[in-house]
Amino acid sequence: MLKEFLFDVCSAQFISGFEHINGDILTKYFQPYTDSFEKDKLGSYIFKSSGSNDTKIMLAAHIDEIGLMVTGILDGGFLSFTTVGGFNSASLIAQDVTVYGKENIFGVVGIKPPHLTSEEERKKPIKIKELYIDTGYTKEELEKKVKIGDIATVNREPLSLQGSVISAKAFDDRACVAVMLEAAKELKKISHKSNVYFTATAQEETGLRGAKTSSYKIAPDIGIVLDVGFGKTPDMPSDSPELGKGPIVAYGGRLNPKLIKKFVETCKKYNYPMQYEAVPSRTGTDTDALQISRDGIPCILLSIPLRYMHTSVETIDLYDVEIAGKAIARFINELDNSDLEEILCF
Amino acid sequence: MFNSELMKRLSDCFGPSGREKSIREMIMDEIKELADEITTDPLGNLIARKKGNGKKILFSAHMDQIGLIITHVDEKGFLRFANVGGLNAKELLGLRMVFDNGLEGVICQEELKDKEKVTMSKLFLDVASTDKEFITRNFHVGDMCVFKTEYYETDDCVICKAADDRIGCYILIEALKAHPETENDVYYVFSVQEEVGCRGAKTAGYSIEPDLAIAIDVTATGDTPDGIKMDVKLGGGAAIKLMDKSIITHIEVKDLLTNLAEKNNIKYQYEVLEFGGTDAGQIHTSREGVPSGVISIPTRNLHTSGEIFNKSDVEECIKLLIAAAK
Repeated sequence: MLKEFLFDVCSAQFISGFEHINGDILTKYFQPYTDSFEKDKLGSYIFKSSGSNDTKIMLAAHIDEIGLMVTGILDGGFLSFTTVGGFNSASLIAQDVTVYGKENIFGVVGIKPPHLTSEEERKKPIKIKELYIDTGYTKEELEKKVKIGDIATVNREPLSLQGSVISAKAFDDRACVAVMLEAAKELKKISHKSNVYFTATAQEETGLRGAKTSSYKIAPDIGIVLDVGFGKTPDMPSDSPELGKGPIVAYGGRLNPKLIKKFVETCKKYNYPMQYEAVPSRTGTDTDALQISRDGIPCILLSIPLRYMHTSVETIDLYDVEIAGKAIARFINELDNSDLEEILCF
Repeated sequence: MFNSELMKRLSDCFGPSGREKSIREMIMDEIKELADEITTDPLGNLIARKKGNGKKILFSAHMDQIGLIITHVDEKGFLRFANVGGLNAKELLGLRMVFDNGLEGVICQEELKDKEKVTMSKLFLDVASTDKEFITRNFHVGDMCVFKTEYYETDDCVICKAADDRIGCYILIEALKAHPETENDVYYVFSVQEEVGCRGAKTAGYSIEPDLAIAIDVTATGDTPDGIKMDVKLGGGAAIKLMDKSIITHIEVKDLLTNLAEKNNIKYQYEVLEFGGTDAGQIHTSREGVPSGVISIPTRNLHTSGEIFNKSDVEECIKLLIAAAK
């Protein structure tokens, strides 16, 4: 089910600021496990699973993905573009893209042939500004179909690699939206007392904006933020978190130490494998917005190890997703049966 | 008809971020007969309200301008400074600066081997005096000064300082004068401290809690020799912003402004700015979010002492703003 969801949701685009277009996919998967649905005014999706007490627990994973935005229609029928969120320009070269104009238009992003570049040119990294989308249309035809501000995504079918390892674009952060789905499924089985808000936040990639507005709307007692972390590859430090060894628990100034302790205890009790990381200050995730929302929200941050972040071949292990979802459900169950005041009091 | 006299006064009025008193008083005087209610909030935003029972709409243009803050005064008449807002050290040499009390100075630099390597710390302000008593009496750490540039115009364009964002203030004032019959509850906000992080807009957005917000601010253009690649030009009409570093324009607001422009024959152009931000950036994430957008005035030489805009673009912006108020 998780794989089916991920392949479905990663085949659709949810570029930051344009999350409203394909929301049906989310409601289809989340509604069977939740009681009500609403959105904040920036377009974050909030699925609520009601409990029996007044405690509010907010799970946050961003639904938006990085993308491209058209900035100009050039002579010859090329499109210049800028990025929505952070891209390494190298990851765009030789990709095919879909431009969402009046109709969907296919295009490719190429570069000058090696024959025509000097050695010096080849050594320098290419800038986004030097790239353009080639659609094959003439400028006149293109002007009828595309306007400045239209968006585009890299095309990529999700792939199954070996075992439970899968690859697609936008696993950042839909791998964690899948974690929420798994947690929702598990929580449906056990009767939970807290009200749980599964929040697929908007516009994380452009500045944690949906996390800010949705957390204000929900005003939760506890935040569980879910994002992806840097999974180990041969060119990374040897102590990097690895795929298939469980989600990564973060320690640091943005996070509540007693909540983390409780979470880690829960994982140990139920034998869920975990990895650990230290994040001294800024986490670069929705946590940074949640922590200082309204009068402050105690948070934990869990990350799914992911390789090749912000490319169209982001790679994860479904096992980590499943473990994270189950662990969160257990954690909420444990919180329900603890003295919350004692945990949240410094 | 462009009101040159008003724009000249707005441009000439002193008001760097955090020191908006003079400009606030000037605008207050200009609009006091026009609004149903005028308030100043704790950060210094000036808020003029046209009451209605309908949708709450917030328009915001910032009063503050970029400037310099004095960090050190020496007895020989040389003042060191830091920037208030985005000023580039490489573009300051030789510029005349003026303080709120009318005193002036000129920006000079230490003798540098490599003039390209000039930084703010290598610059100083010479206040043209050798009188120690005069210097220590008149200049203090924390004083601010701004560009001194004379307002100049041709038939179609204006050169002035602080077009960012006094031209936005001008548009708000002119729109307020022509405020349409409407049920909407409209707040014209002249905000403070935009240049240092849209701080005024943040608090105004929180207190007003609007249903729709539109900032009016300047944007860059791509129409100068070997300039940035950008599809906005002087004379191209009101620019409807689609994205900058602070906001992705809410899709309904993009559609609203586009439809209003089409319906009312208002000349417009779409804008994607690859740097910078406006008040809308703060307002749209206020509370649980506010659908927001920006109407931009295409302006050349942003954040220099000689910003240039086109008067007919301004007229189109005013029309679009009035249409949005309705």
